[in-house]
Amino acid sequence: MVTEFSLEMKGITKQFPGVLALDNANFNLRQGEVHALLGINGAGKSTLIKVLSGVYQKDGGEIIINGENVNIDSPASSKTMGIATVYQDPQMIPSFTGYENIFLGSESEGKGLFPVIHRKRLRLKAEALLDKFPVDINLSMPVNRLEAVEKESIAILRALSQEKMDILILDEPTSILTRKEIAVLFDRIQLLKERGISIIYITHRLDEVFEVADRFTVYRNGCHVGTYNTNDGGMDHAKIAELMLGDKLEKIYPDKSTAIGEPVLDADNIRLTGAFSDISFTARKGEVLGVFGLVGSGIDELSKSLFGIMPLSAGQLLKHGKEIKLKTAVDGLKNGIFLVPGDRRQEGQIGNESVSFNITLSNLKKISRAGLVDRRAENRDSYELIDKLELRPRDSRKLVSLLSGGNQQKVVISKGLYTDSEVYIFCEPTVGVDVGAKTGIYRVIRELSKDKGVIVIGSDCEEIYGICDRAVVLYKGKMVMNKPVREIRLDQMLLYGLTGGNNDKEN
Amino acid sequence: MIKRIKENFSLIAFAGLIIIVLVVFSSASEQFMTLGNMLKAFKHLSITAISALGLTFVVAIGHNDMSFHYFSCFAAMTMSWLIGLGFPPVPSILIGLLPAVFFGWINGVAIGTFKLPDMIVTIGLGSAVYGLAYIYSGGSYIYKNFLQSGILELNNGKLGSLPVPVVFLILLYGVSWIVLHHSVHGRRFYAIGSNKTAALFSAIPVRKYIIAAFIICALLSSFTNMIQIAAQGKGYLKGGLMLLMPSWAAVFIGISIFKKPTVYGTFLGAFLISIMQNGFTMLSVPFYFMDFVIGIVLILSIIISGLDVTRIKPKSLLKKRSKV
Repeated sequence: MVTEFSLEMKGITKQFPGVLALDNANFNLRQGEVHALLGINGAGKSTLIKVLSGVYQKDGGEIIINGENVNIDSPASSKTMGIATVYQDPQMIPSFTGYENIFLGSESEGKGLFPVIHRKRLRLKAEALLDKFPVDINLSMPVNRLEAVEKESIAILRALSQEKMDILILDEPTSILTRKEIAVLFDRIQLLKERGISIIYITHRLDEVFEVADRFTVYRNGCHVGTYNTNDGGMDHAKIAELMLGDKLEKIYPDKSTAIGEPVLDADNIRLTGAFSDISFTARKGEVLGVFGLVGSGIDELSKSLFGIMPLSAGQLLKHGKEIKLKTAVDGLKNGIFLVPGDRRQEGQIGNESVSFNITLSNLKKISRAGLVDRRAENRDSYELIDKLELRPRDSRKLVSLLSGGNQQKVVISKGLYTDSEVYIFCEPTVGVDVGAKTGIYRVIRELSKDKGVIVIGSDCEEIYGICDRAVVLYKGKMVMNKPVREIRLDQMLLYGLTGGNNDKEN
Repeated sequence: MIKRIKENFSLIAFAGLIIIVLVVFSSASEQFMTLGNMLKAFKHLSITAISALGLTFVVAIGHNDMSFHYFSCFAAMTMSWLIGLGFPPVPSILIGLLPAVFFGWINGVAIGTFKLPDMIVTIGLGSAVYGLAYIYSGGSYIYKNFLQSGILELNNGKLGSLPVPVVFLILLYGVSWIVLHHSVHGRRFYAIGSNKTAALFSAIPVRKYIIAAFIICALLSSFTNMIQIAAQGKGYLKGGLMLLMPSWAAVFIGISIFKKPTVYGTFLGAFLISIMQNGFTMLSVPFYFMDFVIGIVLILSIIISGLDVTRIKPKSLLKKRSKV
């Protein structure tokens, strides 16, 4: 059957507890096109992709492939429909060769306890694949000796080795590639197009959209904003940034600062080799300092360096004008700095212990005498913070892993508040937190900034723009902006984060 | 009421098991329930229980130790050797414990600082240390000075009406109970054991605690082996080897009752193991049959504790949520 679109997704809805990730969203794909999917964090891009690849089940809407209404209820069923996904930073077995990685999991047709692997047959199959998609690559080499782009190619070949392969999803394929490697990858994408394969291309880098995509679709808040041709005149980076953001911010952020006070923490040309360099900023009492950057721009490492978990390679940190040296988190806390880390489950909480255990963990001195814990004091102090942050349920004995995401985050923040530090660093403070709890967390951050230094670091530009008084933007480990928020627009800030600001015509 | 029974199900099941074991042994052997035998059983319990107590610290911090029994051989041989040279008992014991501290420290540094896999490091170092002890002792028995030196008092002596090993048992369990369950340090041990990264981000000196745990484990097993050597009345190399399995079994029985490694759980575990060991001895069952039983008990308790632990893991919660 001839249809205009090889894939159509209509009215897709996906609900998570507390969040509507996809709200009646549409998407379509023509045969043999490269279609970029754009949106800021939380816009619904990855949820859409996961619905399509069978990782999530949609709550509503329909998926039509080649004119036929299909039901994708598992990754396997997605595969049989001819859909293949190459995830960001593809996982491979490093000591295996290219061949072996391509056919990982399907290396043998044999059955039984010890199915035989016919290496020769695998090689022939791989060569047939290479005939179809001529890529210059050495498949007999263990993949840990290959360049990043070659690994990416192997991941793509693995997707192509699937029996039926019409739609290829590339999830931020260039995030770990160099400029030169990106050109190689784009060449390969061109080849796939010529073979009639349709490609959904997810990226944060806007220049790539114009370079490789035929059309692009913008998502915002789980909704479809629009689909456009890249060669339409009048489309430029600034315009796309605007589409990604929308024009009005919801009133979930507290008022901006009015009284900016003395400096608390100065970073002077700090560097962490391999992550960021030449970064300077000042965190002051009375204002919230924001650091915005994409994933991989060095923001995560920066948050850890400021707390001492990843010691700086060069540069100075000054607290109240005096240099401090941080080698471990113990040093960080001793110097009055506390980090609310970005990965709550891994770094923030002791999940199988109670709320009060977690809250008091970094300042046990306060509830102990001669090294022995005073449970009454522990309980009293915990409830003080539980009430201050409105933790629900109001139960200091509850295991943290049983709480909702928002309440878990409040526990981690309470742990920080209990240390009575002078500088607080929040990394991605509201990931996986519902809107209600978000507002509460922002209020705490604002309250805290009145007499402490507060730095909020994250990849959610709307949040950084909304909560902060001064914005620092990182792009590939470099600081490309450091300005008061009232002097810049949100789309400008996003643009600096996406492109480094080279395309900003106003500057 | 029903809810409370449900909550304490493992404890009730454990009590039931103890009663069954006691009934079976006392009906099979008339001597089993006598006072003399019970005291003997308690002395025996001290040996397993103190060694298992040390291991509890390592398991609480989230690691494994397969070397403490080897270290205890080295420590006890060193003590015996010093006794043979004419040293008095107390200095011999204290100097004998020094290598245990050192080996525990190496374990801790290798695992905490250099992040090497605990199983391999401890098996490797333990076996090296055992080899070393074999070389320097020649694998022979040391009888010299044993009877005169007074070292036998470590096992035979009494404080009031309590045998010395039982005094140490009470003392060490009391201190450990306070440290692990009522002190700041205990909080940090458990925090590291549940989520090492989060403990690090909570500004806990993780490495120091890991080192401390391995030193405690090496020390307590070495000390308990010295009591055992004193009970045997001669220094010999292989005495400590039989500490490994009962200690692990005791710790895991404890976990299966209380869902996490605890001082009281380990005690109950050691108690069960000891009365079984004692009962089998009374019935003159060959020793290898005991190995078989302890092995099975260890596996069963791992299965039971594993089942309960997975029930409270966040993973299962996620699954439930995504279904809704």
